[in-house]
Amino acid sequence: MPLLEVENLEVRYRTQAGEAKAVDGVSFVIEPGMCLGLVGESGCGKSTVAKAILGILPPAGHIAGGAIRYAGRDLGGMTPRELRAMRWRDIALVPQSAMNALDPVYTVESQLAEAIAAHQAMPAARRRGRIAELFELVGLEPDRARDYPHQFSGGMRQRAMIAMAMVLDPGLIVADEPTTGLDVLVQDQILRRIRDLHDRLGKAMLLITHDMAVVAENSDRIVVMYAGRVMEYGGEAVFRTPYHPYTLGLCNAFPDLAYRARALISIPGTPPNLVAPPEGCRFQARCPFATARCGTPPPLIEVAPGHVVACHHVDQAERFRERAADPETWREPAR
Amino acid sequence: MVGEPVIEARDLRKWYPVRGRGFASLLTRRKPEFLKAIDGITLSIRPGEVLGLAGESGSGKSTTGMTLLKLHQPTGGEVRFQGLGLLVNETNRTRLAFRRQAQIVFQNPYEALNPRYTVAQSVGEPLSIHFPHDRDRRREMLLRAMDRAGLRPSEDYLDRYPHQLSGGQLQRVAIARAISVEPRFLVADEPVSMLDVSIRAGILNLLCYFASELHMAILYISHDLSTMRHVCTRIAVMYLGRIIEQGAADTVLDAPLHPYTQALVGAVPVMAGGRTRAPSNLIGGPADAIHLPGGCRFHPRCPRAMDVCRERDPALDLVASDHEVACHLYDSLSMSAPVRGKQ
Repeated sequence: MPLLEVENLEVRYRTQAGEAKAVDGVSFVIEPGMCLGLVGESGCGKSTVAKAILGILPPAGHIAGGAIRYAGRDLGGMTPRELRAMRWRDIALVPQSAMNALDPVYTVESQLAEAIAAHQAMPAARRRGRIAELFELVGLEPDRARDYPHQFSGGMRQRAMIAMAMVLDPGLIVADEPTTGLDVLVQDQILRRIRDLHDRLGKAMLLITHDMAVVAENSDRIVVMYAGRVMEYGGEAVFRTPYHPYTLGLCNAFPDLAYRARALISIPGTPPNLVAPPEGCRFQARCPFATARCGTPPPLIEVAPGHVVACHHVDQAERFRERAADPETWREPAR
Repeated sequence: MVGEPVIEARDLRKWYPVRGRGFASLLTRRKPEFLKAIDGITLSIRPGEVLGLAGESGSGKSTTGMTLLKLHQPTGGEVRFQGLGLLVNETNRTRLAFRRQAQIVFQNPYEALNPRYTVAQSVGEPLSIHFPHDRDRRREMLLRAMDRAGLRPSEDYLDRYPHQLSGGQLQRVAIARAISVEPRFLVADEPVSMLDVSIRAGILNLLCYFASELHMAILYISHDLSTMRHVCTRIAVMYLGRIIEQGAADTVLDAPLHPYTQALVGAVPVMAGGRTRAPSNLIGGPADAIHLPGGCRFHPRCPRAMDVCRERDPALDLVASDHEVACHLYDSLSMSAPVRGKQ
């Protein structure tokens, strides 16, 4: 049985202009021990997916359809109390800007202890032992547990947040941009820690980021989102042999250190308005390969086992791949 | 690259007093302490050259940009602009002339523009300062800057306000504002780190175009080495206020010599790499910028530190053509005089 199933999830936000369809029919599955990378640009709905899974959507947002099942249990049907018990014990979060997620007036140890105490009765001595163990696990010195957050560097605070996510030994960790804003050396250390938890303890992980190289290096499965929808879904082939023009655009726009001088492309235009999204493919207005057919909803096509693409023109992917590397293809049309 | 350097820094220093300046310290006679944000750097940028300044946060990259522009007063050393020293004989007129020639683009376009100004007002503001009496010329320069920054057709943008534009468009407006007065030197401080991947290349390509076609000298400050490969002709790597390696962009990225540069390059995730990158072997985190270690300031973190590193501060020496490194590992390769100066 999959650990987490997200099926046709729809999340809407009330805004002054009307209801914005922030997430519109997103489905994916996380098996035990698997790391799924969710990649997309700002506003594509990737953080909203995380919030919906954890049941922490802001008051203006609500789940309008679909289902989220954790170990077979539907989270939508749970009472707030049941959800609260489940959160952190089963699904824990390493939040975006985790740097500022610790309370400055409490020691790090007391904040970790609070998370434990909220869910299970444990004598103080054992609690302290558990915290020391977790500090070791994320590469912090256990003696520093009684420090205040300001005595920690950014990378140490981030590790403390990972330790905090681990206190109750959850089955799934949701890491939302866990290294954004950190220096590259620290980022590398943190990602190695996270990967270590995943490899050694078999933790399942939902890794959300805009950095495609981070996803490529750390995920078993990749979901590419755009404007609230999944564009492409699969294994490492998603970046190696992309089919969807949006994935192709992202791959050719991403400056990869491994390649020497290569012309980078820039996708023209801006994402659509989610209050009144276009009929059919969400990417059509920016897609250099769009045709009249793209005005109708694209089918989900399995191009290889486990590799699914939402595009009318998967049969032309080879030609797209060739042309997408050329910046001229993506030149903004003269208006 | 041809031509004399547009901007040069020699032994530039910027120290910030952190303690020992107030009344209490007068009474206690505590020795003043300084944070050495820039501690003796020498660099030059020629027309058409894009120099990338890389390093971790706190290494002094942004301070270097601000000090080269004289937005910060240097504590010591010299900045020369087109061969002329900037510290001496400065009058309002020379300062204004320098401001016209040297401009900056900031990291966050959402904060860099006045929300109450239209695009035309923002881009036109520097022009009205530098060309107050020439309306036709101002208009012409404004439209040229908009066109060069890729805001085409300009009529679509002139009367719009920042809240009506996307992040990428805002950054183009900020760039149009900086280049409106046709500067010779441009500082771009993390110009794409706030922008989405899909539109970064557009901004980076603009910088390449300014250098190659308009012969600007550009200082590109970023912590992101992968974008540097794309824009920079040369790269300088900073560590705690010093340049520790400098050279042609591909040389520094493909064959870095300094252990710190090697660690930085090795820590960048790559899309095609799978999980094969070796972990960094650096020890601990950056040293305290106020209480710098003796000898090489990198030695406490260096996996290859030797005895000499604890004692002597390495100078930035030429070890191959257009490749300088400040590290004792390469002492024997040094192309400077056989008896090296004491530091």
